[in-house]
Amino acid sequence: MPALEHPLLDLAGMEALRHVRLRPRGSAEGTFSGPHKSPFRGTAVEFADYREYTPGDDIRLVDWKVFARSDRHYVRLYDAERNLLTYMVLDKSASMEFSGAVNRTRPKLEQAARLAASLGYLVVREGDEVGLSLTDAKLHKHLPPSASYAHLNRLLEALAQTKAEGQTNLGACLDEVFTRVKRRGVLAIFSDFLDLSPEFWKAIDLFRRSRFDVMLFHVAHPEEIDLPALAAARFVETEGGHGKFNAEPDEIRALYRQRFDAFLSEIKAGAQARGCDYFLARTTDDPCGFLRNCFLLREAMTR
Amino acid sequence: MMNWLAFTTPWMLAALAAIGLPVLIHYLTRARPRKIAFPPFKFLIEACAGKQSVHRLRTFLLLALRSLAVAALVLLFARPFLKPARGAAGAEAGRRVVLIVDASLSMRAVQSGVTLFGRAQAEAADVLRQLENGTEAGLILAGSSPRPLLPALSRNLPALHEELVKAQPTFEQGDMNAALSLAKTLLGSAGTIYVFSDFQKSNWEAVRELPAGIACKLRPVTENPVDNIAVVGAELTPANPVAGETVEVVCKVFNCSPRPVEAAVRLELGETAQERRVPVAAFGTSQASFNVVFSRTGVFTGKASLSPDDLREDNTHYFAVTVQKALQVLLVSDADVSDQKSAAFFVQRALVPSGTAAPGINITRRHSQDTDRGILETADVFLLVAPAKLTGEAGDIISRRVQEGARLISVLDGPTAPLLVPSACNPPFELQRAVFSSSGDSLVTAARLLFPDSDAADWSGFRFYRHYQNQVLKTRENDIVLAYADGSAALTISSVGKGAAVFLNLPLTPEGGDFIGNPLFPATLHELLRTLRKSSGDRVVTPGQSWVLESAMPTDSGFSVHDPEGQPVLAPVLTSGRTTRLAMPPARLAGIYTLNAATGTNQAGAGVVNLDPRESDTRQIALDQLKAGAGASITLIKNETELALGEKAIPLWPQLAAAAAIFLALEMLLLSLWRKTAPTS
Repeated sequence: MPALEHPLLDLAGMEALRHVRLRPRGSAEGTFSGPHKSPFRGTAVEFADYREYTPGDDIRLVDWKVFARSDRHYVRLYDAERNLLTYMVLDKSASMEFSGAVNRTRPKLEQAARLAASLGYLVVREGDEVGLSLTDAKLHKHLPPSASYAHLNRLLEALAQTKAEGQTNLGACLDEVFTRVKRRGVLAIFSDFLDLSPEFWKAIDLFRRSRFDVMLFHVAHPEEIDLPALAAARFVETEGGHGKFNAEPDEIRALYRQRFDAFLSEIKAGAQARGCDYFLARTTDDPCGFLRNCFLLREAMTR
Repeated sequence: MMNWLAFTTPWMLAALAAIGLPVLIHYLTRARPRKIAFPPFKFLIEACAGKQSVHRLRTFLLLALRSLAVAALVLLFARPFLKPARGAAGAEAGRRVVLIVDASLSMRAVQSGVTLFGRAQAEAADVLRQLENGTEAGLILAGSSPRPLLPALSRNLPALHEELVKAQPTFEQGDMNAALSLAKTLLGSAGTIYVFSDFQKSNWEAVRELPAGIACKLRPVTENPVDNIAVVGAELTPANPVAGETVEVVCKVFNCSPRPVEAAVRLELGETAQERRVPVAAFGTSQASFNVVFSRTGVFTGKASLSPDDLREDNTHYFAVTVQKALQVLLVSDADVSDQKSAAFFVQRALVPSGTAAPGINITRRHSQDTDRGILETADVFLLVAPAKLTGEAGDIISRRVQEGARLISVLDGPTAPLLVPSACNPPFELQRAVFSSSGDSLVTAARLLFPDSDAADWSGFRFYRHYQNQVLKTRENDIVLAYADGSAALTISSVGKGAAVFLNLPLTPEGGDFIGNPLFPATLHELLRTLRKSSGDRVVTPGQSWVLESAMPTDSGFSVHDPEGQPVLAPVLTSGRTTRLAMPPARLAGIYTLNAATGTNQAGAGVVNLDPRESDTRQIALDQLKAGAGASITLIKNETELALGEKAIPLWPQLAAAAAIFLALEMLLLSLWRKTAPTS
């Protein structure tokens, strides 16, 4: 394994994930042979079926014992094993810039980038392929999946250079990503999901119908979950609009908490209904530890 | 008829600017909102959209209530009232009103933190403001010489108001009769007089009748007289001591309160400071006595003081003492100096055993025709021992000097005696003729004693062979100290103006009797000199009076006079010579007026002005004793409301006070309610 160092990547932390692997719930349709079960027939050791010999079949696959018993030529078929295709979609809209007012943490975008980088590293380390799409209102950058470390480097650079700007339209962006992917795999979305529109869920449904394994990583700041501890604040909109709201957080905290909990419940229920995995990542979480917990949970749910 | 709004103290309306104060305080003290770009903004709006408008409404309500409370308080202090519109505007236009504000010393008393004069001033200002346009008004400050603030009645009420605001109480006694007369003069035949006074008995008991044809509205500015303790007088005996002599200072303390008190009197005079505590009965007087010795000559000033009370001005009494080297005695006699049988010889020897001077006494002997003006003006005692005849000018000067405070001892012996009884010196008898007795006449003592101790002298043993028969005046029998058996006065002591005159109808020669050979003779002369040295109590100058400042300083090299506040006083010279007499203008302040030479820093003289003791008696006159003149009416205004209602005005401040209280209570109620219902995190 070539040495790989990047600010977004905590290699020491990744050591804790050395026994963790991303396994797809369905079949893998990677380009290369790999450790994951695929819908294709190939040369693996696992016997699958017999088929009558047709000219052109490899003569080595003819089952001579069956020919002796039946005087007919049959060839033995085996399952093919492919590597995994992982598509990462990262929301880089302006709302991802938030890093807190009182309790300052890393911005949501950086946390999302760290999670994506760690996931990408995990995937490439296993010989699987990983791709990246950066979105806000439209699709900005699309790196098709590849399994090389050079590609991972490009992916990390793309993550590092990303700036939070623009409005969110995750549904449209996912539609566009869908048109660009050729084979099914794992779709990992890193976003604050504040633009939770019917279009978004339609796009998710589209992926799910194509048997994509969808993972929703909800990145949130603690002060978004519970308002900042300030005597008075003037809240302003982040993406477009010039809305302002003067309030004393202590007075409206309970009402806001109630509304935000409803939002979390809505997204969780939506994900569950569609068979997606949903993980809430706070900006204070350690990306490696968080991913480890996610994968363990996913493993447990799969079993 | 429409009512219109007026204010008693409209300048308080300037404080209406404070209405913005609650808003300002709110904006200055509220937590500064921190701007936060908040991604889940829409959730905030969805959850709390209504909350912000409610919060704004609450803030607005609270600020509005606070501002209204402030406005109500400000208006309350501006004391608004509704003044009914007049039926006919011109009906009142011809009104003539004079306001008399008592500016006597007693109005300086402080009650509830405000001087009585300040109270009178405010209430007079209220009345001025309530007067209709077109009313002719005048304002008189009643001190010892009442003065109108404007020379005549004026329709310029604002100018009058301005003068009233600037007015200050005096240190004088109030002459209310003069003030009322002046008001009557200003008003003419009809009009209204408002009197704002403490109605001090000592000022008002002389007022027998209020001006005829005038409506008098009397407003006592206090219901209860001010409790007051004062030093109402002090006597120094002798008033002009000589160096080394003991001076007795007797301070009289008056307690004008219904409770007995113990007063601590502190005397600071010359180089000494002493304190005595004296009990003083309710509405009574006590005396605190001090002995002071002046070791050197010069002018000494000082004061006797009490602890401050509500009328603190009269707690201090001032002194100025001129300590001289010796008493100047001018002996006028035509007897030959070498004649050792003359009365002049025996008198001089009795006073000064050798030479012309003894401790405390300096005798100058002159022939009756040799009395120059200089020596006559400087002598303290004129001792006339049978001179042949005084010059007319000398007689006039002696008479004047005695009137002003000098002393005269006239020995009636010999043919010239009738000439030595000038009527200007106020003898208590009528001189008739000389009588002789071969067996000698004896003396009898009268009610008045020469020596303080009645056993000190036995006069009955002396024999006198001649005397002047005289007829004692009925009203002056108290002046007689010694008399002959025939009723003729032998020794009399009389007050003359500020001075005194002694007539000795005794032969002071060896052939005239055996008195001069007795030790009682010099003792009598010395006792006469002592007794005749008047105390300072006889010369009291009070504020408002013109007076004379005397000094031993010659004025050739220039001088300056300063009042107790250090302000220069213009004082023309009345007479100058060995002494200087300055005509002082009416004293404005009580205290020590100093005379300084133009060259040098030494104080060359000093005079004191003390408060009129009558002003210390703050007891009030019963107002029903005041009688109205023909066609006059008296109205007693008991309180401020009546003062305003006197002009049919309706006060609004009770309502405003209630409104302010309601606004504040409502604000507190809303605050507590909203705190209870505020959502908790």
